[in-house]
Amino acid sequence: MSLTKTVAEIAPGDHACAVVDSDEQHWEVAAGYVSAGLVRREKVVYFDGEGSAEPLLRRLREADVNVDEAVDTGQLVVLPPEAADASDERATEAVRSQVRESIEDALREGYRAVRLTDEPSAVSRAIGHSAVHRLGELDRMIHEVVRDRPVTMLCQYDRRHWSSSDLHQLGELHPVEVIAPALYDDGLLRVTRRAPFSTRVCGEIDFSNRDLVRGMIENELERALRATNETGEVAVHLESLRFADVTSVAEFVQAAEGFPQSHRLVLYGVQPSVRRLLDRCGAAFSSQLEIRDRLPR
Amino acid sequence: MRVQNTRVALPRRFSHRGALYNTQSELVDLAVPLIEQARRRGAPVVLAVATSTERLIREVVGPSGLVRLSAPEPELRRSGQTVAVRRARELRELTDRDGPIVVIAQHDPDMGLLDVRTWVETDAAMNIALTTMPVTMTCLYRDPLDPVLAAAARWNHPMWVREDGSALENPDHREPADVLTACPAGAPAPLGPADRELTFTPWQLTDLREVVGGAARAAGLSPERTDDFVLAVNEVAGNAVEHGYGTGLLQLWLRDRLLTCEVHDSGVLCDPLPGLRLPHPAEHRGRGVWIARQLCDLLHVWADHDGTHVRLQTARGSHVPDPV
Repeated sequence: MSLTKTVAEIAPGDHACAVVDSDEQHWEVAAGYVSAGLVRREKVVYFDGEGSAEPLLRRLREADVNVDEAVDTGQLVVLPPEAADASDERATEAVRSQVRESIEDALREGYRAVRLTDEPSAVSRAIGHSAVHRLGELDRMIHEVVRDRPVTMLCQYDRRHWSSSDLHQLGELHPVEVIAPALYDDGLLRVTRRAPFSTRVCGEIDFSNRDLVRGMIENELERALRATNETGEVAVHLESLRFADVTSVAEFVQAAEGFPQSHRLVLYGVQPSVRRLLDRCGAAFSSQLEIRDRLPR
Repeated sequence: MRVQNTRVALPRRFSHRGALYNTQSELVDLAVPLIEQARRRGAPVVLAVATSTERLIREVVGPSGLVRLSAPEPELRRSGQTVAVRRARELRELTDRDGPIVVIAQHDPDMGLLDVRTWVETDAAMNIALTTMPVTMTCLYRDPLDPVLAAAARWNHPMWVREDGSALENPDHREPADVLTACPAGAPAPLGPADRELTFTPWQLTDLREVVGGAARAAGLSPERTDDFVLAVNEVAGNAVEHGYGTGLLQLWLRDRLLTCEVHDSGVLCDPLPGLRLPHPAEHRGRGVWIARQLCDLLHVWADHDGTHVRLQTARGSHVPDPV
């Protein structure tokens, strides 16, 4: 049975897996894992099996990670999908060699630890049922490579590409399972709790899911009112909110106007397009709505 | 693009007057006293008249304090609602700076700017779009008029100016929605087969945004204008699936210097001129189309037996997309 950890709790020596249900969860886990490695001055090697580099880098930038510097200095290396292709025996051996070389290069470059991650869903699409067997072999090979070395490994599986029994078998191969709980995730919008009275809203809000926004803010206010919240602040982090329609942005403004005098709604890290829309919806006139820069990491 | 907002609802301040003239000298006789009155109050006078009329007026009153409004661009001339939005934007800049203003507008079929239907739509839309603005607008119509325009001119002007220059309440005045019921907004000029079509439900609005965003970038729009145009189309598409039985159709054209989208649904158009006035801050809804109108060069809504249709248009940009 696997040990469960959050992304922040993963430590050198862990060989973990994460099963994600949505793109937003995928990017949250991947970006959290990568940024934690960069902060710890580890070398990070991303086997980009699903072609996720662009949204991953965007998500890292939204989290205030200096991606360009990490890429330029070689601390972050993103390997293209073909580097993670384990669809046959020869390719599997190539992946194993690539992993070993990446680790040796990193240690030679002076990094104290190496952080690896891959997204092997393409193998499932390429070879179907035998993918689990193939990945089991690859995992055992990689396990041998990384054993007794300062390496952290995270295998990311998208639930939409695997059967339940496949995921069960793959989970058995990993001593650690990463969990990333959400308050809400519909595949387009993901809401997570960041801290008490503080939520993070990622993705897009439109006609299909906007009814959630006002309810979510009202719930947070209700909790804040019932608890001792000295700041009187209900915080919503919007760094990764990439689209919001007019009605949902107006909901933020109107929700703040409905707050009691003791409390205020604080929006952090609002993206320029959403910021312009807040202005257009009268945010400047709402005394209980505050817009602040994102918090430093 | 900067979009203004207000915290409180403002009272009705727009005065819309109609008058008839037969000859150029009658027109000048009607216009000159209005201009002199305005000057005595220190109010700027805005002219939206034929060049020959403007020359005559300037000869009589001199050039001081006169502002000229340019004629609507050719692509706007079949959308009275868009002309009204454009005029409201131009006039708001003046009233914000100078306070109350006087507008003299001339309808002359020989000017060839707007057809009868569009002129009626423009006048009705002005009554909504300019409601809260301190504008006194007198529209001068050359007699004899087309019968439809003659009736609609009476419907669209709450005040009517007599030959002696005095203005009286007009008993024939009708609300804009009633005018549009009698004389509905027409369809814009057809554009031929669309370059791209997409049927969408509420759950595919994200795909629609992707398609429109890709087209806007391909059209050379800057990132900010791309965001604005995507937002505008999304607002209209959201209305389509909300009011149009859950599905809508997006069509997209990238032609010459214009990016055009149309959104079609099978719903009934309840408000024939939506989004011309910023809703009261306490109103939860109705803001989307207003903002969409501010973000597009053209937004034209019309209805027929198939349902409700909206065309949105923006000029292509010269922005070179960043290489990915």
